[in-house]
Amino acid sequence: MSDRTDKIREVARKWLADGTVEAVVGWEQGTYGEKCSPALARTPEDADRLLFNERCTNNLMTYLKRDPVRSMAKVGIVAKGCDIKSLIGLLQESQVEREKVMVLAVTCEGVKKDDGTVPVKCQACDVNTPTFFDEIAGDKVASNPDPEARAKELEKLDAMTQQERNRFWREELDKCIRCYACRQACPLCICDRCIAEKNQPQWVETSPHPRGNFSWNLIRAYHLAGRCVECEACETACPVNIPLMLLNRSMARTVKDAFDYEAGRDPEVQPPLRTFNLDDDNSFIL
Amino acid sequence: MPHMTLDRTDLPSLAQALAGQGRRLVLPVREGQELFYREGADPAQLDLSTIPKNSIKEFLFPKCEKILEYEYSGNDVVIEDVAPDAKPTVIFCARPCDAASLPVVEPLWNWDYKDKFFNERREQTLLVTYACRTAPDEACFCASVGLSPSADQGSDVMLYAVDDATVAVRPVSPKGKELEEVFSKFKKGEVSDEALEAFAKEGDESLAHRKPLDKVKGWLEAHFEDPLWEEKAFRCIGCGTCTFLCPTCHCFDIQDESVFDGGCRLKNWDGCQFPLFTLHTSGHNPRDTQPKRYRQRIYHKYAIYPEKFGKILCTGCGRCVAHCPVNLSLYDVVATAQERAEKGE
Amino acid sequence: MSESPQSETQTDGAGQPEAATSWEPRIVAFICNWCTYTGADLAGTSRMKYPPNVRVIKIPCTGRFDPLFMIKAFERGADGVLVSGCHPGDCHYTAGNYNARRKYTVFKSLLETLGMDMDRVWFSWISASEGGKWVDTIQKFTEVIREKGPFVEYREMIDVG
Repeated sequence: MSDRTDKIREVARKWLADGTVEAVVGWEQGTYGEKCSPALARTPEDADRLLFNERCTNNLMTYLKRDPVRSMAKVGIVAKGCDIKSLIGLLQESQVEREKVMVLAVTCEGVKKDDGTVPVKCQACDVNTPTFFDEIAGDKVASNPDPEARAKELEKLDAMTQQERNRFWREELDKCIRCYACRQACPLCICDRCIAEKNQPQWVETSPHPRGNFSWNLIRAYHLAGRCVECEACETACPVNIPLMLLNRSMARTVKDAFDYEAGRDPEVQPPLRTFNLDDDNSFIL
Repeated sequence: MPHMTLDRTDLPSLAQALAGQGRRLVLPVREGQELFYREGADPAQLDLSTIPKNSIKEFLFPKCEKILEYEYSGNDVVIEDVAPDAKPTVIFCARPCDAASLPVVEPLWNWDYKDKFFNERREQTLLVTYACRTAPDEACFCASVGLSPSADQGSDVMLYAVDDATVAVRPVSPKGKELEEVFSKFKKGEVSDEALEAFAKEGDESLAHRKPLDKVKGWLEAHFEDPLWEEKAFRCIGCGTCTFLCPTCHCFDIQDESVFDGGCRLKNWDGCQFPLFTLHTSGHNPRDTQPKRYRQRIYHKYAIYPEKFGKILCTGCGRCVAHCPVNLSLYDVVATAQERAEKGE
Repeated sequence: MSESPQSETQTDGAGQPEAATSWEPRIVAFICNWCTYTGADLAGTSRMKYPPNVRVIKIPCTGRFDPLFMIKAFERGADGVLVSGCHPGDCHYTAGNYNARRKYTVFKSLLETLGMDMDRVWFSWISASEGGKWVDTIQKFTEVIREKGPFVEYREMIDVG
């Protein structure tokens, strides 16, 4: 992995020295175990802090929605294949201008979570060598996705009866403390004023009781349907360990089955809920 | 003086005995890769391998609590106070940093208003604290804020695992002393004061690398506009994890939830890291960027609260460090402030 | 914890559902202004009889429908929700119902994943001339809900809160 680090530093140094970008968002060594932490390099000297290894789990695209990055005219972002998918999502929705972001892609064999396990997104990854970038660090890495990895996650839910599923989600969502870490970590939760923060009228109750939690988690899953790229930032951030990815994966499966659409692949394609087909499924409508 | 010991394997039965006196039982159990304090958990599942992810805060200050009900009657509103749902409780094998959070927040809950919800729960809660032989997690820094892995502040009874098979018991408070009868049923032997001192020393040594943070307040008071905040806190995503896992964070939001002829008023957890926290109705937000909000967090804990109440609003439990999704370490930030203060910067 | 007192007779003071004899299904219908609402009007002017259990909420087009409307209805005590609009191809705003159809597919799947009883959520296309279909749909839906009883799972969330 060290030649990736060297290349990242080289490119970042160059971009910062010749003013191509105002800053480069990347990863640096963290302060807790082997954890890595997001870093903002503003000068060529800062670039020497940047690195890449298997603990670079954060999706840095989430910084596009907030200052200081948001107000910058041009910014460089170091990104794995999964992170780039979320950028593609933002481009599809015209939330970011292509010219603003210089993508410093990095080839990746997969990352490791804090507990040492390999995330499902890495098991299912087919973007180990990104194809959407301005510069790329690292040798080509062949993709070897496990075609069952994502579907397997849903097996437990699929096997439950309707009542069992209801009980399962009520228990899980009861844990929610409405910290909104899921929303904050998500690169595609970009609303300046989230639906949960609106109170005229108040559609989503802000209280962390079962009814409010159900409403919040449901509406977040719905607003991400067809948009979520399964980067797992939300589930990783959740402090009470709610299996959020089960909801997001279930929505991704529905969108694939019903509209033959996968998020984060092609910036030119219309997102599925913005368009329609004359012969969409009508069978459930009286 | 001698302190009684019991077999480690008797801890679940001791928990059961304390609960059996009509108390709800809270203890740390494993869920997946992590530990959580859970109410009503099976004592046989007691897990002491590390510090739980949640703090004991939720058992004294729940995330959502009804404080009153109201009904519209003609042109009047009839208000009915709600009694706090305070049941006798034993928190079994809390960590010292969790127990110590209670005396830290007590002045706040009794400052300009005596919060009966907290006070009645506190009154009804028995804290049986499991001292840490060595700091359980790399993120721990209780020693930096005047505590230690075997601190007894806030505890009613202390438990010390003096070796792999033996746990010593030391009642701390009058409430704790009243329980000697319950404990003595499990007595297997005795240890001396020296044994407990040696235990405490081992704990202190495990945190010898943690700086005391005694100069942070002074530095903060002189460096409000320091570039440190932008530098360190650019990475903060405002997720609120640190706030909600913190045993001493206590901000709350009041929500009225109504249907047509009445409703209830709820007290919910809130956090200063959220963008709306200081949004005025005029539209102005004095803390409109994340570094400003993060700065506020540090100031509140290490300057403002000490100024008001004489205590640091932090027990060094390290949860904010261990669970921050972007590894923004509060310890790193305040230790940097301490370092700069020591250098006179 | 939170207990918004129910203003109607569905639950008693302790939050228990009333005895079956006094409970009546409460159905909320979100219907589009141009087709289904007009169809319901036609049913009325034709003096067709149908159960009074339905509460109608008019929206300009099913394309306006937001799943939060349904959630709010269930939160406030609805036992069943109907969403109805113009037939595909007949939308007053050309394509609103096509967009709605996709939303329904996604939202229906989400509710199924969350273990909600999908027999309590109906979608239909009812045109301005289909007063009969409106009556028929409401009659059938009311009976289905009456058979199922009050929406206990949601009630429990409200009362346990």
